[in-house]
Amino acid sequence: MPAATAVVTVRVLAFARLRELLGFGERLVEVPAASTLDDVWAQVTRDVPALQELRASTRFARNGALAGAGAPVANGDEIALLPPVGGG
Amino acid sequence: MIGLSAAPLDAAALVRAVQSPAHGAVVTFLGTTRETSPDDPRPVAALEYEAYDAMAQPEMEAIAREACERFGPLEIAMAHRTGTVALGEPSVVVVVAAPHRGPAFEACRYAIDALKARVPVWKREIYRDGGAAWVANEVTSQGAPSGHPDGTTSVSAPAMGGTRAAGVGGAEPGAERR
Repeated sequence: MPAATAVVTVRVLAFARLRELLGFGERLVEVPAASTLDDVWAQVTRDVPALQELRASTRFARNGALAGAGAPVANGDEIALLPPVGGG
Repeated sequence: MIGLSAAPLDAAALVRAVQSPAHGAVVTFLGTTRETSPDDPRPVAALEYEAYDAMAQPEMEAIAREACERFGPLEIAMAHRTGTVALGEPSVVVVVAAPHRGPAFEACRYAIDALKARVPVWKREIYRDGGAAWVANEVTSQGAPSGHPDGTTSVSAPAMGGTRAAGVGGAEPGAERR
């Protein structure tokens, strides 16, 4: 199968202000194979210009562990978009 | 007893969970809902908390292990609310029992600072005028995160005064403020 047509499906979780701006707390997203977390971010925020300024303060988690924006995603991954925390 | 709770927190139950004849000191920290906001002049009516449960629980357990490694022997209990918390009610409770008061105070301080910096919980202030805003914590050097950007989570304690910027807490404390 040509790599250009291969896609992987990830479950994207969004929290707090990101959840409100994106309009979902959880969504299945298809991205091209060999995509990174940054690619997932770009895809889900494509239609929400207000989110671009929040990219720098957003952290990513992949399958429950913090991961860098350049980390690759695999089929079935749970990708969480985490705004700055506010516990306590 | 470590974790999130959608029900009101019972500090006395957490004290009972850690207290024992081995320990001569029990330090309890309650974080309670305040009627004034650091960022907004409007009076606060309540706070709402949202959490990434699957990550918050292990992060709280990691903080408890770090506190034991640094200041133990000790027993520690930590609970954080989710959902709506009324004014004056506790949103977080940390209880540490240790043989002596010094380590008990230090471990309790360490745990609450690390929790506020690292655990994926988010707070929304609900104002009396009906408005609301998400409020992020200040990033403190004390609460250096344990997570690494390569996706691993360190069990060892972060260096005191560390300022690793890859934590859930974020490097821009003002980013969520309005």
